[in-house]
Amino acid sequence: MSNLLSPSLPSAKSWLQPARRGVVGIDVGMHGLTTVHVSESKKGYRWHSRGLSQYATTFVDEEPSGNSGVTALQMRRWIEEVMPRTLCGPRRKGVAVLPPAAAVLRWPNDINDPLLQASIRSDLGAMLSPGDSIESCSWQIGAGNRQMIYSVSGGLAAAVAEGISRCGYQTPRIDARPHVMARALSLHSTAAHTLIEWGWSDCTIMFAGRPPETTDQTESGRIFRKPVWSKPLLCRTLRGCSLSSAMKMVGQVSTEAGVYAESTDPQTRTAPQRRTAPQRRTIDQSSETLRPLVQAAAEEIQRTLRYAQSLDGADVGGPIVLCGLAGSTPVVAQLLSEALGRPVERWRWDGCQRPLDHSAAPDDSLFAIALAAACGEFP
Amino acid sequence: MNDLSINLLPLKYRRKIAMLSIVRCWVRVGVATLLLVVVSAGVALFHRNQQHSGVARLEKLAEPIQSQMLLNDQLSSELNAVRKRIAHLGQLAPSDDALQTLGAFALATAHDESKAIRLKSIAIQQAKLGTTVHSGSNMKSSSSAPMYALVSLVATDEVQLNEWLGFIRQHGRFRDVRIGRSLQDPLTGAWNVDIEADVDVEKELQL
Repeated sequence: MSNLLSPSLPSAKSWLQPARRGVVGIDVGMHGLTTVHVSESKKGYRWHSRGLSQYATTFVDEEPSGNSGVTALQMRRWIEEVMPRTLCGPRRKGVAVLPPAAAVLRWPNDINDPLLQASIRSDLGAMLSPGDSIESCSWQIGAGNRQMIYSVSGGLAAAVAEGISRCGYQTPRIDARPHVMARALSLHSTAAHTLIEWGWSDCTIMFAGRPPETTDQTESGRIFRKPVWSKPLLCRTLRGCSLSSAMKMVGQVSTEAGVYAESTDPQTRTAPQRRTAPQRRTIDQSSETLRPLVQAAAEEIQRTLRYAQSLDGADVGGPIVLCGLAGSTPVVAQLLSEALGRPVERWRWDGCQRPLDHSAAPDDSLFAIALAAACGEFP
Repeated sequence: MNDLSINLLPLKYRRKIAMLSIVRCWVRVGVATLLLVVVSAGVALFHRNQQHSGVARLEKLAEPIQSQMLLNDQLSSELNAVRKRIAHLGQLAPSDDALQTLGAFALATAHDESKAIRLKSIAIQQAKLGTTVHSGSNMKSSSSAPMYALVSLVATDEVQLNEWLGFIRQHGRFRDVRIGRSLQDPLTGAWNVDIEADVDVEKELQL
Protein backbone atom coordinates (compact mmCIF):
# COMPACT_ATOMS: atom_id res chain seq x y z
CA MET A 1 0.00 0.00 0.00
CA SER A 2 2.77 2.39 0.93
CA ASN A 3 4.50 1.60 -2.37
CA LEU A 4 1.38 2.54 -4.24
CA LEU A 5 1.07 5.83 -2.40
CA SER A 6 4.67 6.88 -2.40
CA PRO A 7 4.94 8.05 -6.06
CA SER A 8 2.10 10.52 -5.58
CA LEU A 9 3.42 11.76 -2.24
CA PRO A 10 5.90 14.37 -3.55
CA SER A 11 3.32 15.97 -5.81
CA ALA A 12 0.81 16.12 -2.95
CA LYS A 13 3.48 17.74 -0.79
CA SER A 14 4.22 20.26 -3.51
CA TRP A 15 0.58 21.28 -3.57
CA LEU A 16 0.45 21.67 0.18
CA GLN A 17 3.72 23.55 0.54
CA PRO A 18 3.70 27.28 -0.19
CA ALA A 19 5.47 28.38 -3.34
CA ARG A 20 9.15 29.10 -2.74
CA ARG A 21 10.93 32.02 -4.25
CA GLY A 22 14.42 31.36 -5.48
CA VAL A 23 16.81 30.90 -8.33
CA VAL A 24 17.40 27.87 -10.48
CA GLY A 25 21.03 27.36 -11.43
CA ILE A 26 21.93 25.20 -14.42
CA ASP A 27 25.36 23.77 -15.05
CA VAL A 28 25.56 22.76 -18.68
CA GLY A 29 28.44 20.33 -18.98
CA MET A 30 29.98 18.40 -21.82
CA HIS A 31 28.13 15.19 -21.03
CA GLY A 32 25.16 16.29 -19.02
CA LEU A 33 23.58 19.07 -17.06
CA THR A 34 22.72 19.63 -13.42
CA THR A 35 20.07 21.92 -12.01
CA VAL A 36 19.50 23.17 -8.50
CA HIS A 37 16.80 25.30 -6.94
CA VAL A 38 18.12 27.58 -4.23
CA SER A 39 16.47 30.26 -2.16
CA GLU A 40 17.79 32.67 0.43
CA SER A 41 16.55 33.09 3.97
CA LYS A 42 17.81 34.83 7.08
CA LYS A 43 19.49 31.62 8.19
CA GLY A 44 21.36 31.10 4.95
CA TYR A 45 20.98 29.60 1.52
CA ARG A 46 18.39 26.84 1.17
CA TRP A 47 18.91 24.12 -1.43
CA HIS A 48 15.45 22.80 -2.27
CA SER A 49 15.86 20.40 -5.16
CA ARG A 50 18.35 19.04 -7.64
CA GLY A 51 18.18 17.58 -11.12
CA LEU A 52 20.72 15.55 -13.08
CA SER A 53 20.55 14.76 -16.75
CA GLN A 54 23.00 12.92 -18.97
CA TYR A 55 23.07 13.50 -22.72
CA ALA A 56 22.87 10.73 -25.29
CA THR A 57 25.59 12.43 -27.32
CA THR A 58 28.46 14.71 -26.45
CA PHE A 59 29.72 18.09 -27.55
CA VAL A 60 33.15 16.75 -28.24
CA ASP A 61 33.26 13.84 -30.61
CA GLU A 62 35.66 11.68 -28.65
CA GLU A 63 34.51 8.39 -30.05
CA PRO A 64 35.12 7.40 -33.66
CA SER A 65 31.39 6.77 -33.98
CA GLY A 66 30.60 9.70 -36.22
CA ASN A 67 28.57 11.66 -33.68
CA SER A 68 28.07 15.18 -34.89
CA GLY A 69 27.77 16.70 -31.41
CA VAL A 70 24.88 18.32 -29.58
CA THR A 71 22.62 20.56 -31.60
CA ALA A 72 20.92 23.64 -30.23
CA LEU A 73 17.56 21.90 -30.52
CA GLN A 74 18.74 18.93 -28.47
CA MET A 75 20.14 21.23 -25.83
CA ARG A 76 16.85 23.10 -25.63
CA ARG A 77 14.95 19.80 -25.20
CA TRP A 78 17.26 18.54 -22.45
CA ILE A 79 16.91 21.76 -20.53
CA GLU A 80 13.15 21.65 -20.88
CA GLU A 81 13.17 18.11 -19.50
CA VAL A 82 15.18 18.76 -16.38
CA MET A 83 14.22 22.33 -15.47
CA PRO A 84 11.69 22.85 -12.66
CA ARG A 85 8.52 24.43 -14.00
CA THR A 86 7.43 27.88 -12.88
CA LEU A 87 3.71 27.19 -13.02
CA CYS A 88 3.46 27.99 -9.33
CA GLY A 89 4.46 31.55 -10.09
CA PRO A 90 7.32 33.14 -8.28
CA ARG A 91 10.28 31.03 -9.39
CA ARG A 92 11.30 33.23 -12.22
CA LYS A 93 15.05 33.50 -12.25
CA GLY A 94 17.23 31.08 -14.13
CA VAL A 95 20.98 31.33 -14.56
CA ALA A 96 23.08 28.94 -16.63
CA VAL A 97 26.75 28.20 -17.01
CA LEU A 98 27.97 26.80 -20.30
CA PRO A 99 30.56 24.02 -20.72
CA PRO A 100 34.19 24.90 -20.13
CA ALA A 101 35.09 26.91 -23.17
CA ALA A 102 37.87 29.08 -24.43
CA ALA A 103 39.74 30.89 -21.69
CA VAL A 104 42.87 32.55 -22.98
CA LEU A 105 45.42 34.91 -21.56
CA ARG A 106 46.25 37.81 -23.80
CA TRP A 107 47.45 41.38 -23.81
CA PRO A 108 44.57 43.87 -24.04
CA ASN A 109 45.70 45.00 -27.50
CA ASP A 110 45.22 41.49 -28.87
CA ILE A 111 41.44 41.36 -28.31
CA ASN A 112 40.56 42.36 -31.87
CA ASP A 113 43.37 40.37 -33.39
CA PRO A 114 42.06 37.96 -36.08
CA LEU A 115 44.56 35.35 -34.95
CA LEU A 116 43.12 35.48 -31.44
CA GLN A 117 39.61 35.14 -32.84
CA ALA A 118 40.70 32.13 -34.86
CA SER A 119 42.32 30.64 -31.78
CA ILE A 120 39.12 31.06 -29.77
CA ARG A 121 37.07 29.49 -32.58
CA SER A 122 39.46 26.58 -32.59
CA ASP A 123 39.14 26.18 -28.80
CA LEU A 124 35.35 26.26 -28.94
CA GLY A 125 35.46 23.48 -31.53
CA ALA A 126 32.27 21.42 -31.72
CA MET A 127 30.33 23.88 -29.59
CA LEU A 128 30.56 26.55 -32.28
CA SER A 129 28.25 25.90 -35.19
CA PRO A 130 28.85 27.66 -38.50
CA GLY A 131 27.52 31.22 -38.33
CA ASP A 132 27.48 31.35 -34.53
CA SER A 133 28.73 34.47 -32.83
CA ILE A 134 31.35 34.38 -30.07
CA GLU A 135 30.32 35.95 -26.78
CA SER A 136 33.19 36.97 -24.50
CA CYS A 137 33.92 38.61 -21.21
CA SER A 138 37.29 39.64 -19.91
CA TRP A 139 38.89 40.60 -16.61
CA GLN A 140 42.13 42.03 -15.42
CA ILE A 141 44.65 39.67 -13.82
CA GLY A 142 45.81 41.12 -10.54
CA ALA A 143 47.75 44.36 -10.75
CA GLY A 144 49.36 43.39 -14.03
CA ASN A 145 48.57 44.51 -17.52
CA ARG A 146 47.31 41.20 -18.81
CA GLN A 147 43.72 40.17 -19.36
CA MET A 148 41.87 36.89 -19.31
CA ILE A 149 39.25 36.38 -21.98
CA TYR A 150 36.49 33.84 -21.56
CA SER A 151 34.41 33.02 -24.63
CA VAL A 152 31.39 30.86 -25.35
CA SER A 153 29.37 30.02 -28.42
CA GLY A 154 26.57 32.54 -28.98
CA GLY A 155 24.38 29.89 -30.61
CA LEU A 156 24.72 27.52 -27.68
CA ALA A 157 24.05 30.36 -25.22
CA ALA A 158 20.91 31.30 -27.16
CA ALA A 159 19.75 27.65 -27.24
CA VAL A 160 20.20 27.30 -23.47
CA ALA A 161 18.42 30.59 -22.86
CA GLU A 162 15.62 29.52 -25.18
CA GLY A 163 15.18 26.31 -23.19
CA ILE A 164 15.11 28.25 -19.93
CA SER A 165 12.59 30.72 -21.35
CA ARG A 166 10.34 27.91 -22.55
CA CYS A 167 10.17 26.61 -18.97
CA GLY A 168 8.63 29.92 -17.87
CA TYR A 169 11.71 31.84 -16.75
CA GLN A 170 11.57 35.37 -18.03
CA THR A 171 15.11 36.63 -17.62
CA PRO A 172 17.64 33.91 -18.31
CA ARG A 173 21.28 34.81 -17.79
CA ILE A 174 24.38 33.02 -19.00
CA ASP A 175 27.13 33.43 -16.45
CA ALA A 176 30.86 33.05 -17.00
CA ARG A 177 32.20 29.74 -15.69
CA PRO A 178 35.41 31.20 -14.14
CA HIS A 179 33.34 33.68 -12.11
CA VAL A 180 31.00 30.92 -10.98
CA MET A 181 33.96 28.73 -10.00
CA ALA A 182 35.31 31.59 -7.91
CA ARG A 183 31.96 31.85 -6.16
CA ALA A 184 31.92 28.09 -5.56
CA LEU A 185 35.25 28.51 -3.83
CA SER A 186 33.76 31.24 -1.61
CA LEU A 187 30.83 28.97 -0.72
CA HIS A 188 33.21 26.21 0.43
CA SER A 189 34.06 28.16 3.59
CA THR A 190 37.83 27.60 3.59
CA ALA A 191 40.77 29.82 2.90
CA ALA A 192 41.47 28.04 -0.38
CA HIS A 193 42.24 29.97 -3.57
CA THR A 194 42.38 27.09 -6.06
CA LEU A 195 39.45 25.13 -7.41
CA ILE A 196 39.62 22.21 -9.81
CA GLU A 197 36.47 21.17 -11.58
CA TRP A 198 37.21 17.70 -12.76
CA GLY A 199 34.51 16.05 -14.81
CA TRP A 200 33.98 13.18 -17.16
CA SER A 201 35.29 15.03 -20.20
CA ASP A 202 37.04 18.11 -18.88
CA CYS A 203 39.35 19.36 -16.17
CA THR A 204 39.44 23.07 -15.40
CA ILE A 205 41.62 24.77 -12.82
CA MET A 206 40.82 28.23 -11.53
CA PHE A 207 42.85 30.48 -9.25
CA ALA A 208 40.88 33.13 -7.39
CA GLY A 209 42.20 36.46 -6.25
CA ARG A 210 42.10 37.51 -2.64
CA PRO A 211 38.52 38.38 -1.69
CA PRO A 212 37.84 42.03 -0.81
CA GLU A 213 37.54 43.13 2.79
CA THR A 214 34.50 41.55 4.42
CA THR A 215 31.61 43.75 5.34
CA ASP A 216 29.30 42.89 8.21
CA GLN A 217 25.82 42.38 6.81
CA THR A 218 24.08 41.51 10.04
CA GLU A 219 22.68 45.05 10.28
CA SER A 220 19.99 44.27 7.73
CA GLY A 221 18.52 41.55 9.92
CA ARG A 222 20.46 38.62 8.47
CA ILE A 223 21.64 36.00 10.89
CA PHE A 224 24.21 34.46 8.57
CA ARG A 225 27.15 36.25 7.03
CA LYS A 226 26.88 36.19 3.29
CA PRO A 227 30.07 35.03 1.67
CA VAL A 228 32.19 37.65 -0.01
CA TRP A 229 32.54 36.44 -3.57
CA SER A 230 36.05 35.92 -4.83
CA LYS A 231 37.02 37.05 -8.31
CA PRO A 232 38.69 34.73 -10.81
CA LEU A 233 42.32 35.34 -11.57
CA LEU A 234 43.53 32.62 -13.87
CA CYS A 235 41.51 29.89 -15.50
CA ARG A 236 42.86 27.05 -17.57
CA THR A 237 41.39 23.93 -19.11
CA LEU A 238 43.71 20.95 -18.83
CA ARG A 239 43.42 19.06 -22.09
CA GLY A 240 43.56 15.28 -22.01
CA CYS A 241 43.02 15.04 -18.26
CA SER A 242 39.32 14.15 -18.28
CA LEU A 243 38.14 11.16 -16.26
CA SER A 244 36.96 9.47 -19.43
CA SER A 245 40.63 9.38 -20.43
CA ALA A 246 41.39 7.24 -17.38
CA MET A 247 38.60 4.86 -18.26
CA LYS A 248 39.87 4.71 -21.83
CA MET A 249 43.30 3.82 -20.56
CA VAL A 250 41.92 0.70 -18.92
CA GLY A 251 39.26 0.06 -21.55
CA GLN A 252 36.26 0.68 -19.27
CA VAL A 253 34.42 3.35 -21.25
CA SER A 254 30.77 2.48 -21.59
CA THR A 255 29.67 2.50 -25.20
CA GLU A 256 26.04 2.86 -24.20
CA ALA A 257 24.80 6.26 -25.30
CA GLY A 258 21.52 6.48 -23.43
CA VAL A 259 19.85 9.35 -21.69
CA TYR A 260 19.85 9.32 -17.90
CA ALA A 261 17.77 11.84 -16.00
CA GLU A 262 16.64 12.25 -12.43
CA SER A 263 15.20 15.11 -10.48
CA THR A 264 13.96 15.75 -6.96
CA ASP A 265 11.80 18.66 -8.03
CA PRO A 266 8.14 17.62 -8.35
CA GLN A 267 7.61 20.12 -11.11
CA THR A 268 10.07 18.78 -13.64
CA ARG A 269 8.85 16.93 -16.68
CA THR A 270 11.05 13.93 -15.93
CA ALA A 271 10.17 11.98 -12.82
CA PRO A 272 13.06 10.04 -11.25
CA GLN A 273 11.43 6.66 -11.61
CA ARG A 274 10.43 7.03 -15.25
CA ARG A 275 13.86 6.34 -16.66
CA THR A 276 15.81 3.63 -14.92
CA ALA A 277 18.25 2.55 -17.62
CA PRO A 278 20.95 3.39 -18.47
CA GLN A 279 22.57 4.09 -15.11
CA ARG A 280 24.19 7.34 -14.12
CA ARG A 281 27.76 7.66 -15.36
CA THR A 282 30.26 6.78 -12.62
CA ILE A 283 33.94 5.93 -12.53
CA ASP A 284 35.85 2.95 -11.32
CA GLN A 285 37.11 4.00 -7.91
CA SER A 286 40.13 1.72 -7.73
CA SER A 287 43.47 3.44 -7.17
CA GLU A 288 45.17 1.42 -9.91
CA THR A 289 42.78 2.68 -12.53
CA LEU A 290 42.95 6.33 -11.55
CA ARG A 291 46.60 6.69 -10.50
CA PRO A 292 48.09 7.18 -14.01
CA LEU A 293 45.49 9.81 -14.87
CA VAL A 294 45.91 11.65 -11.57
CA GLN A 295 49.70 11.61 -12.00
CA ALA A 296 49.41 13.13 -15.46
CA ALA A 297 46.94 15.72 -14.24
CA ALA A 298 49.10 16.56 -11.22
CA GLU A 299 52.02 17.43 -13.50
CA GLU A 300 49.79 19.81 -15.48
CA ILE A 301 48.43 21.30 -12.27
CA GLN A 302 51.94 21.83 -10.92
CA ARG A 303 52.92 23.60 -14.12
CA THR A 304 49.86 25.83 -13.89
CA LEU A 305 50.53 26.53 -10.21
CA ARG A 306 54.07 27.63 -11.02
CA TYR A 307 52.78 29.92 -13.73
CA ALA A 308 50.08 31.35 -11.44
CA GLN A 309 52.72 32.09 -8.78
CA SER A 310 54.45 34.37 -11.26
CA LEU A 311 51.35 36.53 -11.69
CA ASP A 312 50.81 39.68 -9.64
CA GLY A 313 48.23 39.27 -6.88
CA ALA A 314 48.00 35.49 -7.19
CA ASP A 315 47.91 33.44 -4.00
CA VAL A 316 48.23 29.75 -4.77
CA GLY A 317 48.74 28.65 -1.16
CA GLY A 318 46.21 26.80 0.94
CA PRO A 319 44.32 23.65 0.09
CA ILE A 320 43.06 22.76 -3.36
CA VAL A 321 39.29 22.25 -3.62
CA LEU A 322 37.98 19.57 -5.93
CA CYS A 323 34.50 19.54 -7.44
CA GLY A 324 32.71 17.76 -10.26
CA LEU A 325 32.62 14.01 -10.79
CA ALA A 326 36.15 13.66 -9.35
CA GLY A 327 35.07 15.57 -6.27
CA SER A 328 32.43 12.97 -5.61
CA THR A 329 35.10 10.24 -5.63
CA PRO A 330 37.16 10.25 -2.41
CA VAL A 331 40.01 8.27 -3.92
CA VAL A 332 40.75 10.95 -6.53
CA ALA A 333 41.18 13.59 -3.85
CA GLN A 334 43.46 11.27 -1.92
CA LEU A 335 45.58 10.42 -4.98
CA LEU A 336 45.83 14.05 -6.03
CA SER A 337 46.85 15.11 -2.55
CA GLU A 338 49.62 12.49 -2.60
CA ALA A 339 50.76 13.56 -6.06
CA LEU A 340 50.79 17.31 -5.32
CA GLY A 341 52.01 17.04 -1.75
CA ARG A 342 49.40 19.45 -0.43
CA PRO A 343 45.90 19.08 1.02
CA VAL A 344 43.04 18.50 -1.38
CA GLU A 345 39.47 18.97 -0.13
CA ARG A 346 36.25 17.83 -1.73
CA TRP A 347 33.74 20.60 -2.25
CA ARG A 348 30.80 20.49 0.11
CA TRP A 349 27.61 22.51 0.47
CA ASP A 350 27.62 24.75 3.52
CA GLY A 351 24.06 26.09 3.29
CA CYS A 352 21.34 25.66 5.90
CA GLN A 353 19.20 23.19 3.93
CA ARG A 354 19.59 20.33 1.48
CA PRO A 355 17.06 18.38 -0.60
CA LEU A 356 15.06 15.85 1.43
CA ASP A 357 16.76 12.79 -0.11
CA HIS A 358 20.20 13.95 0.98
CA SER A 359 21.35 10.55 2.24
CA ALA A 360 20.72 8.85 -1.11
CA ALA A 361 21.78 11.79 -3.27
CA PRO A 362 24.99 12.11 -5.30
CA ASP A 363 27.82 14.05 -3.70
CA ASP A 364 27.52 17.83 -3.26
CA SER A 365 30.51 18.48 -5.48
CA LEU A 366 28.55 17.34 -8.57
CA PHE A 367 26.28 20.37 -8.07
CA ALA A 368 28.95 22.88 -6.97
CA ILE A 369 28.85 24.97 -10.15
CA ALA A 370 25.05 25.05 -10.40
CA LEU A 371 24.79 25.99 -6.71
CA ALA A 372 27.37 28.74 -7.02
CA ALA A 373 25.62 30.09 -10.12
CA ALA A 374 22.27 30.22 -8.30
CA CYS A 375 23.67 31.68 -5.06
CA GLY A 376 25.41 34.43 -6.99
CA GLU A 377 22.04 35.74 -8.16
CA PHE A 378 21.04 36.91 -4.71
CA PRO A 379 22.10 40.51 -4.26
CA MET B 1 32.81 44.78 -12.92
CA ASN B 2 29.96 43.25 -10.92
CA ASP B 3 29.43 39.53 -11.49
CA LEU B 4 25.72 40.08 -12.02
CA SER B 5 26.43 42.31 -15.00
CA ILE B 6 27.99 39.42 -16.92
CA ASN B 7 25.59 37.95 -19.43
CA LEU B 8 27.03 35.95 -22.28
CA LEU B 9 23.76 35.88 -24.20
CA PRO B 10 24.09 37.26 -27.74
CA LEU B 11 22.92 40.84 -28.04
CA LYS B 12 20.38 39.83 -30.67
CA TYR B 13 18.80 37.35 -28.30
CA ARG B 14 18.86 39.81 -25.42
CA ARG B 15 17.03 42.34 -27.61
CA LYS B 16 14.51 39.67 -28.51
CA ILE B 17 13.92 38.87 -24.83
CA ALA B 18 13.58 42.56 -23.99
CA MET B 19 11.13 43.03 -26.88
CA LEU B 20 9.14 39.98 -25.78
CA SER B 21 8.99 41.19 -22.20
CA ILE B 22 7.79 44.63 -23.37
CA VAL B 23 5.15 43.04 -25.62
CA ARG B 24 4.12 40.70 -22.80
CA CYS B 25 3.87 43.63 -20.42
CA TRP B 26 1.69 45.62 -22.83
CA VAL B 27 -0.45 42.59 -23.56
CA ARG B 28 -1.00 42.20 -19.82
CA VAL B 29 -1.86 45.89 -19.53
CA GLY B 30 -4.26 45.54 -22.46
CA VAL B 31 -5.90 42.43 -21.09
CA ALA B 32 -6.17 44.03 -17.66
CA THR B 33 -7.74 47.15 -19.18
CA LEU B 34 -10.13 45.05 -21.23
CA LEU B 35 -11.10 43.03 -18.20
CA LEU B 36 -11.60 46.22 -16.21
CA VAL B 37 -13.85 47.66 -18.92
CA VAL B 38 -15.83 44.44 -19.22
CA VAL B 39 -16.22 44.10 -15.47
CA SER B 40 -17.18 47.79 -15.11
CA ALA B 41 -19.73 47.48 -17.90
CA GLY B 42 -21.11 44.32 -16.34
CA VAL B 43 -21.37 45.95 -12.94
CA ALA B 44 -23.03 49.05 -14.43
CA LEU B 45 -25.49 46.91 -16.39
CA PHE B 46 -26.27 44.84 -13.33
CA HIS B 47 -26.77 48.00 -11.26
CA ARG B 48 -29.05 49.47 -13.91
CA ASN B 49 -31.11 46.31 -14.10
CA GLN B 50 -31.40 46.29 -10.33
CA GLN B 51 -32.59 49.91 -10.38
CA HIS B 52 -35.12 49.15 -13.12
CA SER B 53 -36.48 46.17 -11.27
CA GLY B 54 -36.69 48.26 -8.08
CA VAL B 55 -38.57 51.02 -9.85
CA ALA B 56 -40.94 48.49 -11.42
CA ARG B 57 -41.61 46.93 -8.03
CA LEU B 58 -42.33 50.34 -6.44
CA GLU B 59 -44.57 51.30 -9.35
CA LYS B 60 -46.52 48.10 -8.90
CA LEU B 61 -46.90 48.83 -5.19
CA ALA B 62 -48.02 52.42 -5.90
CA GLU B 63 -50.60 51.46 -8.51
CA PRO B 64 -53.63 51.49 -6.13
CA ILE B 65 -52.52 54.81 -4.62
CA GLN B 66 -52.09 56.33 -8.05
CA SER B 67 -55.55 55.22 -9.16
CA GLN B 68 -56.98 56.64 -5.91
CA MET B 69 -55.17 59.92 -6.49
CA LEU B 70 -56.52 60.04 -10.01
CA LEU B 71 -60.05 59.47 -8.70
CA ASN B 72 -59.51 62.19 -6.08
CA ASP B 73 -58.42 64.62 -8.76
CA GLN B 74 -61.47 63.81 -10.83
CA LEU B 75 -63.80 64.24 -7.84
CA SER B 76 -62.09 67.49 -6.82
CA SER B 77 -62.51 68.89 -10.28
CA GLU B 78 -66.14 67.82 -10.33
CA LEU B 79 -66.66 69.36 -6.87
CA ASN B 80 -65.13 72.60 -8.00
CA ALA B 81 -67.40 72.61 -11.00
CA VAL B 82 -70.45 72.01 -8.77
CA ARG B 83 -69.38 74.79 -6.41
CA LYS B 84 -68.99 77.22 -9.25
CA ARG B 85 -72.36 76.21 -10.55
CA ILE B 86 -73.99 76.73 -7.13
CA ALA B 87 -72.34 80.12 -6.79
CA HIS B 88 -73.64 81.16 -10.19
CA LEU B 89 -77.09 79.90 -9.36
CA GLY B 90 -77.02 81.78 -6.05
CA GLN B 91 -76.19 84.98 -7.79
CA LEU B 92 -78.89 84.50 -10.39
CA ALA B 93 -81.82 83.40 -8.17
CA PRO B 94 -83.86 86.18 -6.44
CA SER B 95 -83.55 86.12 -2.65
CA ASP B 96 -86.57 86.14 -0.30
CA ASP B 97 -84.49 86.25 2.88
CA ALA B 98 -85.71 89.67 3.96
CA LEU B 99 -89.37 88.65 3.69
CA GLN B 100 -88.81 85.45 5.65
CA THR B 101 -86.98 87.44 8.35
CA LEU B 102 -89.79 89.94 8.55
CA GLY B 103 -92.25 87.04 8.68
CA ALA B 104 -90.38 85.58 11.62
CA PHE B 105 -90.61 88.84 13.57
CA ALA B 106 -94.28 89.18 12.59
CA LEU B 107 -95.08 85.67 13.77
CA ALA B 108 -93.37 86.29 17.10
CA THR B 109 -95.30 89.52 17.59
CA ALA B 110 -98.59 87.92 16.58
CA HIS B 111 -97.90 85.09 18.99
CA ASP B 112 -98.07 87.61 21.84
CA GLU B 113 -101.82 87.70 22.53
CA SER B 114 -101.55 90.32 25.29
CA LYS B 115 -100.26 92.86 22.81
CA ALA B 116 -97.54 93.86 25.20
CA ILE B 117 -94.95 93.96 22.41
CA ARG B 118 -95.07 96.67 19.82
CA LEU B 119 -92.52 96.76 17.02
CA LYS B 120 -91.14 100.17 16.31
CA SER B 121 -88.67 99.43 13.48
CA ILE B 122 -87.00 96.53 11.73
CA ALA B 123 -83.78 96.95 9.76
CA ILE B 124 -82.22 94.07 7.85
CA GLN B 125 -78.64 94.81 6.85
CA GLN B 126 -75.83 93.01 5.13
CA ALA B 127 -72.46 92.71 6.76
CA LYS B 128 -69.26 93.58 4.84
CA LEU B 129 -67.95 90.99 2.39
CA GLY B 130 -65.17 88.60 3.59
CA THR B 131 -66.26 88.56 7.19
CA THR B 132 -66.54 85.23 8.87
CA VAL B 133 -69.35 84.27 11.11
CA HIS B 134 -68.79 81.69 13.78
CA SER B 135 -71.46 79.28 14.72
CA GLY B 136 -70.60 76.68 17.30
CA SER B 137 -67.60 74.61 16.15
CA ASN B 138 -68.50 74.83 12.49
CA MET B 139 -67.04 77.42 10.26
CA LYS B 140 -69.31 78.95 7.66
CA SER B 141 -68.19 80.94 4.72
CA SER B 142 -70.33 82.34 2.03
CA SER B 143 -69.86 83.87 -1.28
CA SER B 144 -72.32 86.64 -0.23
CA ALA B 145 -72.13 88.70 3.02
CA PRO B 146 -74.12 87.50 6.05
CA MET B 147 -77.33 89.28 7.01
CA TYR B 148 -78.27 90.62 10.39
CA ALA B 149 -81.45 92.34 11.68
CA LEU B 150 -81.84 95.28 14.03
CA VAL B 151 -85.22 95.41 15.75
CA SER B 152 -86.46 98.26 17.94
CA LEU B 153 -89.55 97.49 20.07
CA VAL B 154 -91.49 98.68 23.03
CA ALA B 155 -92.43 96.12 25.65
CA THR B 156 -94.85 96.82 28.40
CA ASP B 157 -94.31 93.53 30.12
CA GLU B 158 -90.93 91.97 30.81
CA VAL B 159 -92.40 88.48 30.86
CA GLN B 160 -93.86 88.91 27.37
CA LEU B 161 -90.56 90.36 26.19
CA ASN B 162 -88.77 87.20 27.34
CA GLU B 163 -91.35 85.03 25.62
CA TRP B 164 -90.92 87.05 22.44
CA LEU B 165 -87.17 86.64 22.61
CA GLY B 166 -87.55 82.91 23.28
CA PHE B 167 -89.82 82.54 20.26
CA ILE B 168 -87.32 84.34 18.08
CA ARG B 169 -84.41 82.22 19.38
CA GLN B 170 -86.35 78.98 18.83
CA HIS B 171 -87.42 79.96 15.35
CA GLY B 172 -84.22 78.67 13.77
CA ARG B 173 -83.99 81.55 11.40
CA PHE B 174 -81.62 83.38 13.65
CA ARG B 175 -78.29 82.19 14.81
CA ASP B 176 -77.62 84.64 17.60
CA VAL B 177 -80.13 86.96 19.25
CA ARG B 178 -78.76 89.70 21.51
CA ILE B 179 -80.28 92.61 23.41
CA GLY B 180 -78.31 95.63 22.33
CA ARG B 181 -79.81 98.43 24.38
CA SER B 182 -82.80 98.63 26.81
CA LEU B 183 -84.24 101.75 28.40
CA GLN B 184 -87.26 102.01 30.64
CA ASP B 185 -89.61 104.93 30.14
CA PRO B 186 -90.03 106.55 33.59
CA LEU B 187 -93.54 107.73 32.86
CA THR B 188 -95.14 104.64 31.40
CA GLY B 189 -92.73 101.99 32.74
CA ALA B 190 -92.44 100.49 29.27
CA TRP B 191 -89.12 99.16 27.95
CA ASN B 192 -87.54 100.46 24.73
CA VAL B 193 -85.36 97.57 23.60
CA ASP B 194 -82.99 97.28 20.62
CA ILE B 195 -82.37 93.69 19.55
CA GLU B 196 -79.68 92.42 17.17
CA ALA B 197 -80.08 89.05 15.49
CA ASP B 198 -77.78 87.32 13.00
CA VAL B 199 -79.80 85.83 10.22
CA ASP B 200 -79.10 82.26 9.32
CA VAL B 201 -79.26 82.23 5.53
CA GLU B 202 -80.50 78.83 4.49
CA LYS B 203 -79.21 78.95 0.99
CA GLU B 204 -75.56 79.23 2.16
CA LEU B 205 -73.57 76.14 1.45
CA GLN B 206 -72.60 74.05 4.47
CA LEU B 207 -69.05 72.76 4.07
